[in-house]
Amino acid sequence: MYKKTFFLIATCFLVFAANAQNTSTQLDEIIIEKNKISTLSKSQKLIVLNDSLINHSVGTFTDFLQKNTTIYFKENGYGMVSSPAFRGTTAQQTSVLWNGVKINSALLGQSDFNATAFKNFDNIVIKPGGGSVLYGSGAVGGTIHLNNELHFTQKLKNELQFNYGSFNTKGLHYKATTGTTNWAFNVHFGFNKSANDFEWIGKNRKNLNGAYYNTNFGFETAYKINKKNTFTFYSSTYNDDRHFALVTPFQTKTKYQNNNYRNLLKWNFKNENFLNIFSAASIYESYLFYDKLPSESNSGGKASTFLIKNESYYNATNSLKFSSKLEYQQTKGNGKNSNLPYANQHIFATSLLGSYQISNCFGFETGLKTEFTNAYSNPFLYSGGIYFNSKNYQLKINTSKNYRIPTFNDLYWQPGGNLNLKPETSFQIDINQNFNYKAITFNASTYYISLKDMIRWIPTASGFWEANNTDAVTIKGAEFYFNIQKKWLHNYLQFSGNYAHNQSTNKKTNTQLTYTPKNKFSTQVLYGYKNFSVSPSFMFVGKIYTTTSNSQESALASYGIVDIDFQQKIPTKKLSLYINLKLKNVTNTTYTTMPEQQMPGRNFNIQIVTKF
Amino acid sequence: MKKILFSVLAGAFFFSCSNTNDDLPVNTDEKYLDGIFVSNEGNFTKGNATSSFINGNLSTITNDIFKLSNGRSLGDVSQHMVVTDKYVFIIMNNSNTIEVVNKKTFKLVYTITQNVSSPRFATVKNNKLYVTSLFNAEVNVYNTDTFAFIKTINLNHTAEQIVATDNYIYAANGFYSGGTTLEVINPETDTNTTDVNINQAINNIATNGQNVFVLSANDTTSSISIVSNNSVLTTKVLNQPIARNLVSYTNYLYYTAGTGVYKINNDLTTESSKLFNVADGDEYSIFYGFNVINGSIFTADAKGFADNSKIVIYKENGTIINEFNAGIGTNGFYKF
Repeated sequence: MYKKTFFLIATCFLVFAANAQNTSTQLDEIIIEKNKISTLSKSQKLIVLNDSLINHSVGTFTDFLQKNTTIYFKENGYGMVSSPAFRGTTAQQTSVLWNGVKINSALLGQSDFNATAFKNFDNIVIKPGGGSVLYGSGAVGGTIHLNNELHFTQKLKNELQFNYGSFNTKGLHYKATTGTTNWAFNVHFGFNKSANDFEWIGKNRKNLNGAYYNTNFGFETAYKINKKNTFTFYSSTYNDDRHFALVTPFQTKTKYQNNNYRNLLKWNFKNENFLNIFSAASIYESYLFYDKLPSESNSGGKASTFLIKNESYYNATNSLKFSSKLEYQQTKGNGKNSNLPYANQHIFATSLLGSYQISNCFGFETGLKTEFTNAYSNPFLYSGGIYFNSKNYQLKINTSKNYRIPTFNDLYWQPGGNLNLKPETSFQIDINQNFNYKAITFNASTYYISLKDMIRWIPTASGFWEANNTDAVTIKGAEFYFNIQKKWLHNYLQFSGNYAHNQSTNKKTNTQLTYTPKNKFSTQVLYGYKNFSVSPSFMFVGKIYTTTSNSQESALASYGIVDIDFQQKIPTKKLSLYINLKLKNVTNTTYTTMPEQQMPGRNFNIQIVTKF
Repeated sequence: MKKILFSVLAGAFFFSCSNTNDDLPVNTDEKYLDGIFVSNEGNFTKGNATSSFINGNLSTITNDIFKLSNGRSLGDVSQHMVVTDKYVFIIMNNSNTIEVVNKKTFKLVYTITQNVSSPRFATVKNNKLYVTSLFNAEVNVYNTDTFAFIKTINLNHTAEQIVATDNYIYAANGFYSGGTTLEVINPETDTNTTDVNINQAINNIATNGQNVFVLSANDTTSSISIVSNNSVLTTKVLNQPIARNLVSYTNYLYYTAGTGVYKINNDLTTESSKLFNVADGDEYSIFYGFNVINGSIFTADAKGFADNSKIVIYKENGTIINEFNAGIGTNGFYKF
């Protein structure tokens, strides 16, 4: 225990830590999500990853979040299916929202972070901790918000970027935004392609069957009818084709195709003390899994969700605010050549929230939510929090009950789907403290999560697997963030760091959850001189266990990865041009996040970003 | 932790024993001279299959012996093993390989890849290895000395388990999926001419060298049929649903149902008797591996494939001889 405490302290104070995490002050730019995120969650921490950070990154969404947050991702090989363990929870316990609408797969319950075109978004907000009252199922470990911004009265802005890297990796992304007094438009598209055939260091072979290709297209538009009424429409299309990298050279080759189509219409009505947002969304997902290439043999599934939601925000007084939410969601899904029969799920949810600001620096908030469905027993949820703000110190304390519902596969797959499943539920408490003094920021979150009824597929006596509510888990964890900046003459220097410690303990076996590292740490130095910058970074991921008993022989070793990013800005009269060179895994470290699935060694990427 | 330490130390002790015994060959690589090979299938697509070895007096286990001898991992899904005089053929389902290792050293001799398509089970007859395929309705035949591919025998259905008797080779059409056909292969011509129909879905087959015993089951009853040459001799209906494993040993058949281990005369003229219930360990996936070797009953609880399997070896009266932790998904025990 002493050792652990010392390690924590040492990590926080001795190691100047990580990464270009631009915390936060830009919330006002998030037009549509502003209300829910900033007004109603004053007692929870937010991390905003802004557009310049998004623009200048290359690689997958997993790479981006792995490097810039404390969230740990396990990847089935580079570019393959990627799932998070946010605050030591499971993949289904992280909710991903697209402009406020949940987009976790209805079939699998999780988002695949290597099948998300993150460059389409103007900002990505990470909200650690429980948020089920606001965001529904899956908001247990935390929520990740993918947001598009719309701006009125804006001249045409274009951004075009190319990247090329090792393993014949190519990417293109284009985005245009413009607006008039009453209209605002964004359009964007992109593609990414890679042979992904890197050398398996020391194994005398290449990564086989790892190629991937994806395209995305999206647009957003807003029309301001008058001062009170605004309509916004969001549309997004994503298609990919990913081969699954082989573990052994003659392994059966497989691939996966994903198609996602999302449309969302919002109507905002506001007057002085009242805001109403009505949303209607259609979310379609489908996948096909080719189980023995090169044959056409495949199976798959699809789900379409129709959602209507009405959110009202009412300021009773300057310090007393209420909001309510009514939501109806219908999801239909079925398999193709697979054992998922047609199923139709209806969920109706209602929630009520209130906040009271006692003084300029102190207030509290609370929320209640209940849900009715034909598919599982409805949970009753709550949240409550207090906050304190002063110039150099901020405190946020939040407690909540959260859940994640059984997925379509959990409920309906034949055989093995179980209609008697309960949702996984969690109770949690979260204390967040922020210290800032001049150019120094230090943030510490400590949390406790108690989870029960975890859903797990287990073999039955008759030979098939069945979904069951089995495990209970206790998570004790902490996250730390440190940042210091200095500017002088033409120089800019920044140190930053992230550290997360999670003890996710299965209550029955008293062992750490599999694929959940106890320690993850990242640190970054950024030095800039005029238009040039160099940024070395280091990420450490602790040992993970692959067996529930935490047997040492099946544990995957901890690893540390060093990247170096260089950037040269070439400003011209008509456009800004950036050339980014990224050297990844410069020490050529061999590592895996899944057994026997090796990750890339030293590799590079060149990126050209133009704005005009 | 203690257990792991124990087995590591025990393993080390065992090596030193066999190396200092004057009766044994001087080849220090020959670590496996008498005992039981264990197949641990691993998690599908994770490539964490392993092989284990339990020594002859059932006192120690050595895990991951393929890596110990060859310095690399075994591969993806170790489905089955065939042990011959010289070699162990390890049928690697999703790796699409058959790893041939020297029986005494477990050193890799050859990797068969030609015409290997999601192999499931294998048997040896007349110096030929017969291998079933998950995807293709065929049995592929290899020479057990040169490992050369000989031919493909076409079947009417895909087959899983395969056994050889004195006269024929029998390949059973799919388990747990409604397969009801036993395909009969003539080893002289290596052709499939006759099929034997079983009236319920086949769960398992076993042989005593003369006859084939077929365990079939549905949700309410289980049956054992005796197949001789090309026809069903007799069928006995058991009073248990979903019996799963079937082993022929001496003049008896052993099978499992629920948590019980049962025994019945192999002429099926008597009723079966329950030997014992396994101690209630993990409630799921018990009897994933099951065999009766030299009178000892080997069981493996696959622990839901989320943890290392637990092997428990019993005497017929239910007394526990020994317990070990093996690899992920222990699915088979094979006599040296």
